[in-house]
Amino acid sequence: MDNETNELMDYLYKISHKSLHGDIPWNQQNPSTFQWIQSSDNDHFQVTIQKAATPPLRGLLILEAKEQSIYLFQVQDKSNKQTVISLSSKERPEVYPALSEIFHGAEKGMDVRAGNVLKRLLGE
Amino acid sequence: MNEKYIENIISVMEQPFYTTPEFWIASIIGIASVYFSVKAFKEAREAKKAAFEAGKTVKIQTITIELTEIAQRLDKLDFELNFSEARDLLNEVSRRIRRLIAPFQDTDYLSQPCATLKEALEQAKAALNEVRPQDSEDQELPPNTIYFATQGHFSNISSLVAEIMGLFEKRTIEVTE
Repeated sequence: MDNETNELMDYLYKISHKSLHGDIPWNQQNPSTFQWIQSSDNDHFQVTIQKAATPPLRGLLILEAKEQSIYLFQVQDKSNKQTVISLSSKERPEVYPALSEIFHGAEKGMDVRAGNVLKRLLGE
Repeated sequence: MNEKYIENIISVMEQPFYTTPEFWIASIIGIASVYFSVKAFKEAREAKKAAFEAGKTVKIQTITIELTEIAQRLDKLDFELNFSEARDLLNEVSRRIRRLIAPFQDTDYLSQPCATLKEALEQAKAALNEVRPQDSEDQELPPNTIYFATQGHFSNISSLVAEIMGLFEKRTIEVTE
């Protein structure tokens, strides 16, 4: 991997790490999609991580094959509704581990946040 | 007069029946009738079978045309498909395919492809459930969310439909040969 790709991977792993600890406020839009909205004075970004299953290749000659997961990570600039980043593990298999960890982190991070909310509700 | 007449009858009766030409003429006509009857029966049976096969071929060709329409529809999937459109498309395609393959799903050469196709329809349904909106459909998700989740499944269904069409065409060629 070249330097640019390494740098990109580092950022992706940072997102997954922060997600896992509940530091990124992901919202679950549907069972396979998480969304994170990051707003500041000048920027308004919408980040989504989506998991999809690719159907197993089956046909007359191929009878058995495994279903695989693919991930799509997208960042949209809401001010001009442009997609600024779109990474799919289908087109770029090298980002699969990082995207898989982000998705896993978003799932777990939501549990962490839910646990914190319940803790506050119970006054603990 | 009477005695002569009786003598004549006795002389005729004393002759063996197979020596008379009438017997052989009648026998030949009888055998020829049986031969032509059997031949006519066989040809009628062949004609009935051919008509039945022709009917089946016409039916298969009609089904193939309809399957082609379905495959073409699946191949033209909109990149900005929303959940309702994808659900309606899958429901329609699933209903039509199941109706078309139902009469053939127990035949030897089609049972496996039909089972695989039905499984692919179920997988597509499961994939669509994975992008079912949690609250309303007006969520601000990227426009390609539904496409990303379902395109592989629709493409898989289209490929399997094409394989079944190929098997139908092979059968049509065999019948018409």
